[in-house]
Amino acid sequence: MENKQIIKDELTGNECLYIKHKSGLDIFVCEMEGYSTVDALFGTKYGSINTCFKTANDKEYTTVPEGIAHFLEHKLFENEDNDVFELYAKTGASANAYTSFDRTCYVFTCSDNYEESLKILLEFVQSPYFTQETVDKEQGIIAQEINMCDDNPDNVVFFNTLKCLYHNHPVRINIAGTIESIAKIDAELLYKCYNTFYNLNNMVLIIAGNVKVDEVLKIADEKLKMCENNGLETVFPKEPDTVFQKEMVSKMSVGIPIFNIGFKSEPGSGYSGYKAELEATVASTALIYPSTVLYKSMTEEGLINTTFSSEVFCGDGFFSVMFSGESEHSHEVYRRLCEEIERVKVEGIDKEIFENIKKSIYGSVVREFNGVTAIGSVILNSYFAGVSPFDAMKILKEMTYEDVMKCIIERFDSEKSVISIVEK
Amino acid sequence: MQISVKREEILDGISITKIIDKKFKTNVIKVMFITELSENDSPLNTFISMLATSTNSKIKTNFEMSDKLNALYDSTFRANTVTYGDSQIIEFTIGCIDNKFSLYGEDILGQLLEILEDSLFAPNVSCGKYDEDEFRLRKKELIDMINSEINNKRYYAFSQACRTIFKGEPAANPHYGSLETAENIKSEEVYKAYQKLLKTARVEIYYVSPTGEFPVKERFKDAFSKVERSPQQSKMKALSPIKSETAYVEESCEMLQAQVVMAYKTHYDNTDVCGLLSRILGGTAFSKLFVNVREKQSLCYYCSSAQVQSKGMVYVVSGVENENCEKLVKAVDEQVEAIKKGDFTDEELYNTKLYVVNGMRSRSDFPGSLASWYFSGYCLGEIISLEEGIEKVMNVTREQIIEAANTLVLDTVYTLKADKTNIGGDEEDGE
Repeated sequence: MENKQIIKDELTGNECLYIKHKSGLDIFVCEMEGYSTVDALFGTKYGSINTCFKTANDKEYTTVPEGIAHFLEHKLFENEDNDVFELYAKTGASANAYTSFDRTCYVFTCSDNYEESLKILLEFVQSPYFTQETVDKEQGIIAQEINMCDDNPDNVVFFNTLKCLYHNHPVRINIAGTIESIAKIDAELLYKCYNTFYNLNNMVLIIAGNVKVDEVLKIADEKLKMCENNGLETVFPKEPDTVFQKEMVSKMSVGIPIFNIGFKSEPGSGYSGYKAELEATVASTALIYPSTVLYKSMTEEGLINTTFSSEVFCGDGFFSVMFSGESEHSHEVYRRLCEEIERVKVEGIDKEIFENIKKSIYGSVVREFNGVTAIGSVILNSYFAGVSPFDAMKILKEMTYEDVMKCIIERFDSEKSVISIVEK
Repeated sequence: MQISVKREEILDGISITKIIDKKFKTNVIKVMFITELSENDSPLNTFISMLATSTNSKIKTNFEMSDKLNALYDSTFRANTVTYGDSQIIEFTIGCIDNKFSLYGEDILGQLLEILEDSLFAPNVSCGKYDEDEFRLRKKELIDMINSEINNKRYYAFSQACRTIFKGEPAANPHYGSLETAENIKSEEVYKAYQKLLKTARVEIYYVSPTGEFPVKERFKDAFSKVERSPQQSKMKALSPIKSETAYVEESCEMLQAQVVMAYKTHYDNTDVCGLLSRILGGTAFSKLFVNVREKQSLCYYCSSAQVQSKGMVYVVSGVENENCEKLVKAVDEQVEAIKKGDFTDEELYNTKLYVVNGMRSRSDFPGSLASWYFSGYCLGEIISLEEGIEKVMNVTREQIIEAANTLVLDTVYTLKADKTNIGGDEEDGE
């Protein structure tokens, strides 16, 4: 028996249909009139942080090498008979996949033959085929991907920040792992991870654009294999409230030193976690808003340039706010930022700035609903956050000045902050 | 077809294309200035674009500009400069949500267009000089941008390679100019360059909207009418001379992975054929380079090709271990030779066409991408609809691909070797 529910945003008129498929899979379909493109995404709640897990059938927890979720993503594109890209080639679709901290997603975009492409997507993700020979072959390719990431200073400065912020949480490890860790991966381990995390009860299908719900569901009925919920449990090592280390400096060939300043705070989940994420987004933007005295003075003194920005980085068991930029005087930027936070805790943020930021975020959310791919991402992010696709609008509308001030007081603690620098 | 497209010339050397599609929730306006690529003026034009998006006679500072754009529901005002043939294109783009989504009834597009007009026609200038503070801050930003080019190793390698690939041509000059040029840039010369740009550039304007209700055409016609104009032609197509012998250049940089750039040149004059040829070689996940160099030989994570039509170039970029550089160059060249010999199936060609056509159709879902399609048609001297473009791609034959491939000459191989001498050893300062 399938459950169906129409989810609608009154403000923009956008809507999508949610279906709990009998196979166990959650499906979201967004029919978009007038669009040529179709964007489909088949994802599992399995990312680089899920290194320790068990199912109801397992007695013990299994710990796997770092980078295995990403490795598995690569290997799924090769099935027993052929390469998946060869199959997509016949439909004209542009296919890809990515692994992040908490998810692995397989995507395609097309403007013709979406039904055929959808069949390929559902089939190949449900048909693993790993041999030691193909695993060995992939290690060379992924080693080059790891090197490529390690040559990217933005990537290095970001992961060093996470290494400083977290003692034990696996968010501190690189998504692709290391050349040493991926050498420990074999076909048997890949099957173990696949059978654990690629259970349809742990997955979602999102398809948006020039599609018809009935056609999508017909293909889903035909291709999805019934799945018993395997009682998956993932665990993380206990993470102290404190930061692991205050600072890390790496040497690389960069033009100007780059920095990340991170503030660690209590992780959240579900609606309240999503609300906290949006509040922290408004708070961090307000702290370094271009018309603030802090931003103006640091710009005029040459401490920062227009790359200075903030972002909220959160997920299962971690929550942090990051400030990044380029500076010859990163420590001074750090000191001034902490000083400003303490001032704001007492004096408050500018109310006009608060309103402008809310309008700005509202505008960016409306803009996201302009594109097929962006809508797919909005639905995906909401799904992984455990909220409804259009909850951002609701939270934003209800967010008060006091909510944001509370967030600054609770989540921007200089004692729980770190700095990571990459310099020449 | 729900898209309506109308192009008209509003003044000598200035045209506007209005594209209406009711599905869009945003308005996008692009103003493209097309001028000659030159070692002196091009870096100044880039600087003009940075100043224009930061300040004008009414919005005096970049801080105020950011504030204003945020208050207009995250509206955007961006500038970009690109090289096309021996021309430079200075592109200004504004984007905003449609007025019907405003929460308090503001005229978002009207206010944003006013900002764009002020920035283009009323800069923050007095006595022939830009505001001193904004000039100083943007100059620092330009210097920072030049210094930071090395952060992106793939881009940096390509930029370095262009010095050899286009040696003796305007395209050999660095995109933002040299560090020395940036450090010595003077306010008066920038203002003079601005006046010259306004006077001599050809201008293409694009207005993409769900309604097309706003009098964008009239506003620009009125604004440009007040400017003394003498538009001049610049070369949109400038095929790069092919070297008599392949140039091999090797440099090094502190990093883990070597970067290889291989430039093939051709004077084969058919964009659709060369575009497909480049895709067959290395432009898809089922291309020759992906299948044979990445998947079969496990040499690299990426090895892809692209076409620069205006210069007659198809180039390949890849990141590999130092010791595999030569092996990679050989492997890429083998795939080019294979295409020359016709070693690709009709199915490969047909699938590549499907892939390209899918991407072309997708353009109709993105306002900025639609405008870019019509602008690239203008640059090519043939403004056609997406459907007409698709038909042209589908009509390309196998024989044409082989013919074009046989005109490819390996012009330059640029290798940026990884210098790992000082890599390792993070300085970790724990509590």
